[in-house]
Amino acid sequence: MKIIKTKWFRRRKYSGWGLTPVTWQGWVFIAVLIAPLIFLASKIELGINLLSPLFISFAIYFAIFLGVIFAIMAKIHTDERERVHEAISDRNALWFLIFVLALGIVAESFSPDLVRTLYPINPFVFGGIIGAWIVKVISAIYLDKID
Amino acid sequence: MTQEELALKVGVARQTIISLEAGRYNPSLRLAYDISRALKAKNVEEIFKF
Repeated sequence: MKIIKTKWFRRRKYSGWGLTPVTWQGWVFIAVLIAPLIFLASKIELGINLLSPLFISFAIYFAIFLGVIFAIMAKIHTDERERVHEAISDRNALWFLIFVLALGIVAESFSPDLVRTLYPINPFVFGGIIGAWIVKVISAIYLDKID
Repeated sequence: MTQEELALKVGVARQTIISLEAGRYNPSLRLAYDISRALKAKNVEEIFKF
């Protein structure tokens, strides 16, 4: 018997990666899946020992969480046109991410302190991820219009 | 047969049928064959022009 049904979800078309629940069962499932993750994350404090039972439990549950999400995503039916669109969008996003990260490596090799002193988080990593997400959204919308 | 019915029969999204009808999307040989069969065509060329 199947506990999780793929018809509860649809793949995110324009807003990046992941699942969108389309039925109340899907929303309940996501809430039940995410609740322990939020509970464990709320107990973790900055500077926690990475070998502490709490952090290990969080890491294990997070891996299970991702595994379940990926398993559902893999089973959701998509037709050939949707698969091609998704592949092209992901490719564009990945190229953008690679470009920004390569730019970051060059910038850091020329001026190692500049990036660290200017920003609390590495702007190339952060910008690369956000930019890749934007590229994926634009690509998906564009492909849906022309193809 | 409606677009929705054809989409269900060949296992694609309705949007894919809309794109095919508008001539924006080139189907794989498999999909072209499935659609031809679903529409009871004698051959693929009866439905698609390449």
